[in-house]
Amino acid sequence: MYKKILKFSYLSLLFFAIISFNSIAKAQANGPLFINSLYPGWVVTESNNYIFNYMNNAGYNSVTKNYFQAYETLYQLDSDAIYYVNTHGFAEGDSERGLIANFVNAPSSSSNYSVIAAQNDSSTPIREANCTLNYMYGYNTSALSKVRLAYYSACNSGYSNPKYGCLPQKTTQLGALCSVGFTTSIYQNQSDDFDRHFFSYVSNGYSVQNALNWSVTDAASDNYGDPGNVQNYVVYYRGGTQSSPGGIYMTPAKYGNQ
Amino acid sequence: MFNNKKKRVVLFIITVFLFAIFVKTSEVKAKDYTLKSKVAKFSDISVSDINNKGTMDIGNNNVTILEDNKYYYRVFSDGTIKDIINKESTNHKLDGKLSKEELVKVADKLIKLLENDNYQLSSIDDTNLETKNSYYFIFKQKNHSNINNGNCIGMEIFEDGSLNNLYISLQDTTIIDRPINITKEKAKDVVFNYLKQNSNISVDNLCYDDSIEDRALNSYKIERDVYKNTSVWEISIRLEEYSNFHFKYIVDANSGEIIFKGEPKK
Repeated sequence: MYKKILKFSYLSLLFFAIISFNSIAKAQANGPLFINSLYPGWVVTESNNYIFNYMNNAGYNSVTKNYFQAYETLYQLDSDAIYYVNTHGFAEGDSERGLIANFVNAPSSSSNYSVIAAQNDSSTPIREANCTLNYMYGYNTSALSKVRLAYYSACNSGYSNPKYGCLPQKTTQLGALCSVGFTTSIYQNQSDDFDRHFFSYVSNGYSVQNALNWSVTDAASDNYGDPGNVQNYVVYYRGGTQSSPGGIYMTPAKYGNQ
Repeated sequence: MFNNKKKRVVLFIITVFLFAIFVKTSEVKAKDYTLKSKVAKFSDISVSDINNKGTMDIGNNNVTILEDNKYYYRVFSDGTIKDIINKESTNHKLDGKLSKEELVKVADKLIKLLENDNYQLSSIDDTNLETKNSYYFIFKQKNHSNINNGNCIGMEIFEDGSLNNLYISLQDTTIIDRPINITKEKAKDVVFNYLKQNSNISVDNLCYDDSIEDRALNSYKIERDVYKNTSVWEISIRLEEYSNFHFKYIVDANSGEIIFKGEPKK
C-alpha cells in the first residue's frame, strides 16, 4: 500500500512538472515586451532594468532596443504584447505638445530630432511623414490587436494635439487593448518611480487601473510628498474610449487578441 | 484503570489544543480589528463590511489591502493607512460640480476623518482640471511653532467631491525641533548657485511668493520641512517658461547638500 502511494506521488509530481514546463515555455514564446529608449547613448538604466526583469518574471519575453530613427520603434509596435517607450515629449505651449521625440544629438540641441505622432497634419506636416501611427497602420482597427498595453512614458504623451492627435487614443483606436500617456509635463524622478511601481504591480497580477493609482501614491511618498504630475496619467481602451471595460490585467502573459 | 488514565490524557491534549485554537483565533480577530478600525471610521461602515484582500510588500514594508464598496485601502500592520484609491477611478462619471473652495472643505473633512489634526493646505494643483476634472491638494501638518513637521497628506479629488486617490506620509515629528546648521538664506544660495551653474535660468530676477496657488511666474518659495526623517529646506521655483509646474529642490538643513531635484522630464 505504501509503495502504491509513493508511486502515485512520483507520477503526480512528474505530471505537474511537465504541465508547468509547457506553461512556462509557452509564456516565454508569447508577448515580447519591447522596452525602448529613443535616445542613442542615453538610457534610463535603473527604471528600464527593473521593468525588464518584472515583465520577464511575469512570463513575457523582454527586449530592450535603442533606436536611432523614430519610425523604427513604430514598425515594431504591432508585434508586441506590451510596448513601453521612455523618452521626452514637448512642453505646454509648444506646437508639438503631444508628440514624443527622439533627439539624435544632445537633448539641448533642438534642431535635429525626429518625432512620433498619432497622425499627420496636411497644413503643418511633422518632420518625417512615416513617423505616425496612421502612416504605419492606416485606419485598420485591428492592426494593433496583439498589443495588450502601449505605455508612453513622456511629458504630454497623452495630450490631444488638435493637429497631430493623441498617441494613446490612436493606439487603442487601432486595436490595442489599452494605452497609457500623460496629459502634462512630468517630473523625471517621479516618472521613473511611477513607471517602476506600475510594472511591478501589473507583473504581480494587479489590474492596470489599480496599478496606476497605487503608483501615484507611491511616487508621491517616495519623492518628498510630491507626485510630480504623474497623477496626470490618462488611459484609453480599445476603440479609443476612456471608459474602462472592466479590470485589465497583464498576467498571465499573452497577446492582446488572445 | 489504565484506560481511564489514557482517556484523561487524550482529553487533556484535546482541551489544550482547543484552547490554543481559541487563543489564535482571538489574536487573528484582534489583529483584523486593528487593521480595519481606522478604515471603518473613515468610511463610516462596520468593520465586518470591510474585506481583507491580502497583503503585498512595498519596499521593506508589508501592507494589507482592505476594501469597502468604494475604495481600496493599503494599511500598515498597526492599522495606519498608507493610501486610499478609488475602485472606479478610470470610469468615474462626474455627479455634479463643486467650486474649488467647496472642494478644499471636502479635502479638509477627509483629513479630519483620518483623525489628523493641525493639517493646513500647502498647495493646490489644477493642471488636470481640463482633462481629468480633478484637483490635487497637498496638506502639511504644523507643529506648535506653525512649522511643517514632515507629516503630509496628498489627495486627488474630482470636481464632484469624490476622492480619486490619497496618500499619507508620516515622519518623526520631533526632528523639526532639533537645531540645524544651514540657514534659509544659505539654502537658497545653494540652489540658486546650482541653477546658475547648470542651467540658463535667470535666478537673480526671481521674486519671493509663498502663495498656496497661482504663484507669480518667476518666483520662488522656501520653507522648512522634514523628509525621510531628515530636516530640510524645500525650495520651489515657478518659471514663466514652464508655467504649468514648479521646480523643487530639497536641501539637507544640516549638510547643505541638495538631496532631491524635482525637475521636469522634458
